[in-house]
Amino acid sequence: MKYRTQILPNVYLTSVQTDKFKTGCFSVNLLRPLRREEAAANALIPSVLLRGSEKYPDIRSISAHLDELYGASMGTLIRKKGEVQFVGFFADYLEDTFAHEPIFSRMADFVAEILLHPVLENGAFGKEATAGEKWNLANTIESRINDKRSYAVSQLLKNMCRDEIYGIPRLGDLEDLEKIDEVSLYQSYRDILKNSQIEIFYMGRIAPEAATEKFREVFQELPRGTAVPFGTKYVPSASEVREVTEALDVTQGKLSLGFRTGCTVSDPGYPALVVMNTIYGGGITSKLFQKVREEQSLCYYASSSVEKFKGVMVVSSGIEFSEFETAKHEILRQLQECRDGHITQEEFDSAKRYLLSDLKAGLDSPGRLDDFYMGQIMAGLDGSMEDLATGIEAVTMEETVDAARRVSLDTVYFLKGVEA
Amino acid sequence: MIKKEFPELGEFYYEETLKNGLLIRVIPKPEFSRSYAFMAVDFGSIDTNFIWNGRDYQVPAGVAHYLEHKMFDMPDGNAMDAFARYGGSNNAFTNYTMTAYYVECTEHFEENLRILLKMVTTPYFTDESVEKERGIIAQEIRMYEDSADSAVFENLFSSLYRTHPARVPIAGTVESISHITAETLQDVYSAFYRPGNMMLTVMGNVDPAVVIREAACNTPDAGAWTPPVRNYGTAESLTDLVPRVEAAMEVSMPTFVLGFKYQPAKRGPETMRQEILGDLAAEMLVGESSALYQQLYEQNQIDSDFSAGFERMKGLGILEAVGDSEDPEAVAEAIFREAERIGREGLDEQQFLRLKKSAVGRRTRDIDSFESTCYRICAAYFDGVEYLEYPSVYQALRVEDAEEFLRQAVRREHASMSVIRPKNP
Repeated sequence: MKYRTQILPNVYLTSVQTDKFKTGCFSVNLLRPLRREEAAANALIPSVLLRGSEKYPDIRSISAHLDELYGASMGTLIRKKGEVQFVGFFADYLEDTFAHEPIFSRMADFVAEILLHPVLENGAFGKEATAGEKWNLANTIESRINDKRSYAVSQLLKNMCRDEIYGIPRLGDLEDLEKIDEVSLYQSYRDILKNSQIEIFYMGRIAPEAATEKFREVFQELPRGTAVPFGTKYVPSASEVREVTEALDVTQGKLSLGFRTGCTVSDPGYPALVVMNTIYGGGITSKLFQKVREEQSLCYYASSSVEKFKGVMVVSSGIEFSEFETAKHEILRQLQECRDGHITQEEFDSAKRYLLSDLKAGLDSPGRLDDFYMGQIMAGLDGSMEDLATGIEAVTMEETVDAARRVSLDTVYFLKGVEA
Repeated sequence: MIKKEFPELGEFYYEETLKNGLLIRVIPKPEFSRSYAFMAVDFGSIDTNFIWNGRDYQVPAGVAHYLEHKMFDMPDGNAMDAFARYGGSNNAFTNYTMTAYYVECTEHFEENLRILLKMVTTPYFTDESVEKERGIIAQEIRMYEDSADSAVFENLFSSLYRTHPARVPIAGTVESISHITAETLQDVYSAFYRPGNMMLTVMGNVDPAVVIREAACNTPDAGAWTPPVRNYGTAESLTDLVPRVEAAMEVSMPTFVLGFKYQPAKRGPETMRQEILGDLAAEMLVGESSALYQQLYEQNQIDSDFSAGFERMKGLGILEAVGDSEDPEAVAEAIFREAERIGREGLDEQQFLRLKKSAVGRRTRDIDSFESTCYRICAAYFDGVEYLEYPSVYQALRVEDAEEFLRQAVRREHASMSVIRPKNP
């Protein structure tokens, strides 16, 4: 079903042909090792490119062109997977057959135009465009604090991985952003355009051969140098537990716990970790939801999730300030239950059913397929979602308990209120 | 079972109204792995004042949301466990005008649908379980209280409207929910959770005959029921408002909504026309491809999260411009001036035609989302409209309609500005 081919040196297309949707889509991604000195610049480049190209010199002409293409969308896409930063764009558009005119090929032209022909001033990006987008990115970075739930998780990870590459935020840090100007940014752009592996994901009605042909044509002028290698350093277990507390003027406390999972997506034990995480905190049948939230009303939400490339599990919860000790104790006790094999057949079966259903539903979601395949490619794996489903089906109760035993607590982060 | 086709969109659905009054629509999508069933009740947070069976009810704010939480309780356990047994992924939400319950699955669709139908039509409230839920809901309300994105709208609604129940947040307040009892829930359940006041929409890999059969077997008889008469207060003057409301929270930059009070369309086709026209007019004024947007964006007065649109519900209509800005007042002033300029010079017709094309394309793409399509079909039906007829609504609109809309809507005396400022300097 999936088709992958090299279209230019170090430029690959992964293509899934389907006529299920009215929307066709693709993403173009430059794969960069996560590095402090370039993370912020990389996050900034796509936004500056979207300020104008030779043919579409300002945001208004870009918007008008997208309107003309039946409300197509093109946006910046910055992803962090393990210690790799994906830098690029996504495009979503009405399939040709519903528009009664060609849209895909014009979208491919358009994305290539934006990527390859930015508006230049004196051989660099525009001064005002760069300053404006720096300001926007700085605000986005600062606005992390607005959503307390995700803020508490990102603060946890920042503390937990403070001495690791993984501690670098997806969009980089403010202090590094400050140093960038239109000249240095343009140099970074020329460099990453030339020296990165590029991955394109396409899903829609066009046959893989035709999509290959079109992308090869529009990216013909792409400069090609040597692609920099990338990878993720894995820490199998935690040494000692750290507790970090922060105070903000909030009415609800946020408690996040970070664990090392002793396993990554590349290990044979990965499907068991996925099942374990689901039993522990992955959904409404999980122990965290059923015991901590429903039975004890200790929190409004409590769930766990796994970062499969880095080998990290995070529990995220919202609690009353005064419940900190009780909630922490209870969250850890539920993990201990998993380690002790106190998992009912019902919990085990529902977790598997939930996961299999979720993976199958993922086949109906272009965004999830894109994300899944980009992750697989980055990790050097070639299994499909169907293969993962097969792996999950085969997981035994014993393997699940073992997966829980490999998990170790690393850091506890608590966001509490300011005392009046 | 009738089949209704929308050839322009390449879509069709099967429709059936059961004897008990439940309306069912099914859009088969055999090429998908998943199926999605959406059960909507025409009952939302604003339905707190109504006359039913000769009695006048004034129920505490937040009751619809509280009820939504308690509908999962069944005499034989929690419906969530039942869904989990069949691999169904379920959830529910309450908004101002609707409460909806839904399940998505890739296997055992019939079983999951049956659980959904049973759950929504089985009231089971005990004093103990209602009491236990209070803490969970209070936590949820506190979480919204920490969210500037919710607060900025809630503050706007309460400054634009003097009596309309949308003044109060959807989940109510910690105080208002303290008055909710099992009896309150039973009362509103009896009044609103009737097949004739609900709609079931299903999309996905399903057989319509199976959906109709299951719905017929798993929903109760209509009984002797007359719909409640809802009261949203007397019609409000467009100028009776508080022009400015401000609060301080833990945010990094001021966030704002500039809202213009607008006469909402009455139930029927006019509601969809008004929403579509309102959105187009807002886009013409300050949407992404407008001259004003570009100017504000390039001056860093707004960022790419800025948006403008029209919101309508029973008894409420608001044209809104939403965003983050260091200087919300300057943005508001620029919008007023641009509206005045448009009042004098009119709108660009080419831009209007392009925007119509864009909006139709985006709506058509949105049909890919089962969640969104089922919701829109139900919401439109409760307003007395056929949602999938939207292309013809766009076709009929002229640039003059948008000009007139802006002239009526964008007036200083109809406006209120809600701002959330950062707490710390």
